[in-house]
Amino acid sequence: MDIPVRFEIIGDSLALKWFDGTEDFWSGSFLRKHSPSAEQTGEMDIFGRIQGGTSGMDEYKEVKLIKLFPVGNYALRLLFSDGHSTGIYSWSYLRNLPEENTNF
Amino acid sequence: MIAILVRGSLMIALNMTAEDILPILQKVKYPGYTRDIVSFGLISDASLIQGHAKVKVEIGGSDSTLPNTLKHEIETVLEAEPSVSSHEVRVIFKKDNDAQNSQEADNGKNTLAGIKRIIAIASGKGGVGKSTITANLASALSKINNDQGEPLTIGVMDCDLYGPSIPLQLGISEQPTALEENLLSPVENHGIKVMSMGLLVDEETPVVWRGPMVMKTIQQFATNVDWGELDYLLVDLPPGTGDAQLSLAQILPLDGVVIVTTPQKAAVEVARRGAMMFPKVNVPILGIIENMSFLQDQETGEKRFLFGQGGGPLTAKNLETVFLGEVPLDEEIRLGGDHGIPIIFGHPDSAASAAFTEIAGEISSLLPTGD
Repeated sequence: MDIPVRFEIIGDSLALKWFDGTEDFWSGSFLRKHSPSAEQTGEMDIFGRIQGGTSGMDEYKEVKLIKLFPVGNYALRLLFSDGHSTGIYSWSYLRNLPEENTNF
Repeated sequence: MIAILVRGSLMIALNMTAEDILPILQKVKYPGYTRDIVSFGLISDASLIQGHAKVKVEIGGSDSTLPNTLKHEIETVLEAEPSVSSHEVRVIFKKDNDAQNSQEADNGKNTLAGIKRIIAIASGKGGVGKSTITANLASALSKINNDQGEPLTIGVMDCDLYGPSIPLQLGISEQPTALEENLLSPVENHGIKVMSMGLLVDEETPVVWRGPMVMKTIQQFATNVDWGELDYLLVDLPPGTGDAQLSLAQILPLDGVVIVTTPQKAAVEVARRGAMMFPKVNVPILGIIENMSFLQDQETGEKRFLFGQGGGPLTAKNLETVFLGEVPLDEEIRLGGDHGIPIIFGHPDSAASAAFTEIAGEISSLLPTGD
């Protein structure tokens, strides 16, 4: 599995340095918008329909990244200035998260 | 007059007859990364007026050597610039107190700090003998000597909160003692330290809990139990891939997981699906143990494969991991469990004991605890 050798909040960005030396940086607002939490993405019912979630309802332009909490061997949980804190960003999720200036 | 874009807001610096300082500051990389301090948005104020550079930087974090490092790097870059004749660099450090506190708390009483290796014993399938395997592997590991010739120290955390059976299998019925307000001592028998729900509630009390209580209890088993120095902590899990397994993967720094299955298809498929959880949470699958592999006739030596053959090796192949070994059906394993004297201690010369010893040896070489 791709794992980071270091990660931290710098300014308002999450900075990650991966095992292979590549780096990723995302702003709090971008990470908030792409939170993998069910609060954000909704959850699937038995028909495969998405229930709930707040995706697409806000751009979270003003939201800042406040704090990070490592989760086991595999993820970070992020706390944002709007109080959202249920997103668990696994290394593989972050590895596949595109660069911020791309349209995603 | 020059306009400088700082943190997305337009700052108009009046009476400036100067060059733009930001391209200069973009040469300063944040220590450890290739990205510069301007892109990180760390510049809260910057100007260059008649050769005099003024820079104010705000950073956070817990590394108190960072402000000086950064200040020095900014000064070095400014001094190398012909357009800069003098400079004034201020680095404001907002220390992340929470991070500092939690780090101190961790160092102060991290009950897991003395544990060299943590291994979970899991299976998606119930009834395959996870607890029996855990109790006997713990026993077999405790008979292995380390490089100094001393026996390995072993603990067992019984995370099957609804149906704890480790205390019975290891012959423990005492209650744990409270060492201090938030610290329980594990109970020891056969030299193995144990914490289990079975030691905290009496036999008549069912543990009727929703997920959050399961999470909290597993958290407390990890942080409020005085495990001390251990070579291996084995964690016995309930079947499935629910609250207990996920909590464990989120709370404990697991070094690996051993998957238990029995040979038949009905078990293999569930065990295999359940095992696929662990790579997702970055916990390596150390290997597969096949339990109840066969029943051997004492007189003739003939093996009867009650549950079919090949399920364990097939699971290992599917999951691209190691087949650790097979454990036969043996009445003495069951008797040992029921009487709290694992077969490893009661009948060390039996075929089943040999199997457990071999598997324990394999695990200790896959995850050695020597320095």
